[in-house]
Amino acid sequence: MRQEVEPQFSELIAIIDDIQQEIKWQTKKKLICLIDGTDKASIETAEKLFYKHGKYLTDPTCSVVYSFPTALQHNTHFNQVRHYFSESYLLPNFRTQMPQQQAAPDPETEKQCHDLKEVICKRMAADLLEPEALDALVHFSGGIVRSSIMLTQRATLKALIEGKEKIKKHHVDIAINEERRIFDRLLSEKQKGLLEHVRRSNDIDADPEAGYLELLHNLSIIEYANGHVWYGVNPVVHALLRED
Amino acid sequence: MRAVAPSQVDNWTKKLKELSLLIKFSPQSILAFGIFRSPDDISHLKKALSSELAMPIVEQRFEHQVSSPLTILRELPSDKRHIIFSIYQGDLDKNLSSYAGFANIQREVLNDVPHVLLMFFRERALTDFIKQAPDFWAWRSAVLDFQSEAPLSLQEAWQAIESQEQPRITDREALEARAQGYKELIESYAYNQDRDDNYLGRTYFRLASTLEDLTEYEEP
Repeated sequence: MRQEVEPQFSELIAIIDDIQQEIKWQTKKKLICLIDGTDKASIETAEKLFYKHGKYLTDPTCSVVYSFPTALQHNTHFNQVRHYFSESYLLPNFRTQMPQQQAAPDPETEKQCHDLKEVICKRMAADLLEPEALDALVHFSGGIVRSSIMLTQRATLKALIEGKEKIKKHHVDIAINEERRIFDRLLSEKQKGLLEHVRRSNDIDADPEAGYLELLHNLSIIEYANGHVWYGVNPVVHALLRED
Repeated sequence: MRAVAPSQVDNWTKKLKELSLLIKFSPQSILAFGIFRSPDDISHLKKALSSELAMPIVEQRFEHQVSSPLTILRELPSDKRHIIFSIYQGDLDKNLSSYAGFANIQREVLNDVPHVLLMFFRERALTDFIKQAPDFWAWRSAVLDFQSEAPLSLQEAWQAIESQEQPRITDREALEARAQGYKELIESYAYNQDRDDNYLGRTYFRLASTLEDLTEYEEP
């Protein structure tokens, strides 16, 4: 594996340097290089890349931003990984739920729900959505922008099939149920037990053997980082779990 | 075509309509997943979609020596929108890992092309694919179930195997249905921790016999 990765790796560093020198020569400007896609690696590959080769990733003479998988934060070597880089940033999800499931939303949560509604309504005419449908889209997205867009798109199709001009809560419910069925296929009973623990504690065991990181990766668990980091169960999945 | 219940026809028609609307209303590339049970499910959909939309449909099947399901997206002309049926019919082994790995790493190609990529899996294989290509999966626009009614229930297949009597079937469609039933039985049973290897072996034997019988028939 080492033999396979290293040639590509040194090639990547060389390419970054070549590009930045060319641009600097042509424009006399400094370059910021964004390396996307490195967050899609498995946790094992990400550990090899950012831990074993981390110090070389900062070799290019320009500023470079690398994306990395969230689960790497919970890796035992993450502290050393951080030392190779100037900063590490987490791009947070919108906080659309409270740490305690039954707690009423605080002003900050309400604001973030409002912000996510704006994101959805920037992509479509707001009057095409009934208010209850928009509320449900925001809630069941768990604050993940991509999920909110995907659910909106699906609900739109359901409304179109019925020949309706507005998206009603009922259309969102159908989209959510379809999504829930997929999670139901994916999750084992053991994993559902872990999710019940997260629902009660808002915390995870970061030991890779404990099984929580896989659930974080498949979005059954959502990480929120507003003030402090905590974990919530994806609202779509809630109905698959036993009542407390 | 096997007879199907009216509610199943309604459901199938709704799924077809949903897919057609999705393609009509989304001018950019689309990634959708389809669940199939038998090859008939796909040919039935292809025929129906061809009459709904005036778009060329390209079919690719992946089984052994799997390569990237996304390569074709770059090979097709980008000035004409195509629908690609990418059908995974291999086993649940390293081939699926490689197929999923390519998809997960190369998903960005979907940003550069106008095509519709419809990836077909059997139910069990889809679940494994999702686990192995979570980032690619996150880009889906729809998951549509086009499975026809089970051609042969697991119970029926089990009874046939246990009775040690291989019914003589002389109809290609029925043979395909039986082979599919055995495949599903093996798929669901092979991962059972308490499995009886003799029983599994007999099922493989029945599948092999059925597939051999099928070679006597020409493709329709």
